[in-house]
Amino acid sequence: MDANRLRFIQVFDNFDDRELELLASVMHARSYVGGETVFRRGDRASACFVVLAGAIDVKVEGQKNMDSNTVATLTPGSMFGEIALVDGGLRSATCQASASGAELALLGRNEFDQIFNAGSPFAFKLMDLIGERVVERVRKAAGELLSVVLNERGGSVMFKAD
Amino acid sequence: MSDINHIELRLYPVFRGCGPEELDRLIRCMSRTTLENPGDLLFEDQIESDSAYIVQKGLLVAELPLEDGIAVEMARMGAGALVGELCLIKGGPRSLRVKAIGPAQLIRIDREAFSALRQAKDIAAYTVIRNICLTMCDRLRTTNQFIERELRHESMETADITSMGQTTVGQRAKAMLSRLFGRQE
Repeated sequence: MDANRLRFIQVFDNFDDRELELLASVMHARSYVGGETVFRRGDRASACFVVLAGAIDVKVEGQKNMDSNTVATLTPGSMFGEIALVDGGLRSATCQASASGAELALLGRNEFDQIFNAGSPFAFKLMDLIGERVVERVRKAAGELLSVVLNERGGSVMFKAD
Repeated sequence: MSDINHIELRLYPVFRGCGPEELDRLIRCMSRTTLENPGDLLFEDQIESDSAYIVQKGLLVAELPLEDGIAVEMARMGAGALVGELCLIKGGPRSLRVKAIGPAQLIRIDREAFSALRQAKDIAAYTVIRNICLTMCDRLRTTNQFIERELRHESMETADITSMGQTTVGQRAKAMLSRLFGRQE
């Protein structure tokens, strides 16, 4: 895909021209029509995505029925599903193109493995990004659990994990 | 020069995928440390993280000190556990105090030395980061399922009663914390 399309993506701000070219050489663009599913909750994760145009709705199943509720809408520049590059586990939510459709850049796990094992500095930059997101999620989850333990002990303490 | 060797490091999944030369470079970031007595402090909470630790022998407890001088135990970590490893990815203050329950032997990984490897775009450092992320993603999945099931989708009434043995939601949250922090038996 064309590296210029990745230039405005905030998460790649620290990438120089050469790194963007390398990234573009292993990513490819794909268009989705309105309502088309990118992946479903429970699907095996094999790629990460960047929104190039349009929007993506992130949905979770309703509590008492199978209707899905939109919990977030991702706009151009957003990166999602990046944990798949290290994990390859199951997707935790369903992602669908919004009514107007969307265009995404995809980076597959195999392609990521390839550039990581080759020692490409830009693979490591992506790893930095993924690592920071994982740390944020762990700290958030730990904070929630700690708050539960403290609340049960008495009072209504909110623990903030840093 | 550290006497830490490849054979002992290969016991730990965090070094999976590292070749001999990579392990040599990582060993330069490491030193041995021991906690002799019950109650000996590994690190205090709210202090900026400067290292991660591998527990080789012994048992540690992670606790949250409260204003009234009482500390609430949050998790226990035994041999094989990696403690404070998130600081190798992203710095920040420690969220909990960690101390020994009995004598413990540990390997300390210095954050500054590890960061220097990272700055040099050394694949050894990034293989470790990737392995930490892999382990954390796995634990996060279980943790988030627990949070979703017990804290979001159930009423407080249901969440507070005993549904997993004779335990409360707080006790189960504590067990989840131990898993998230890498308790090893």
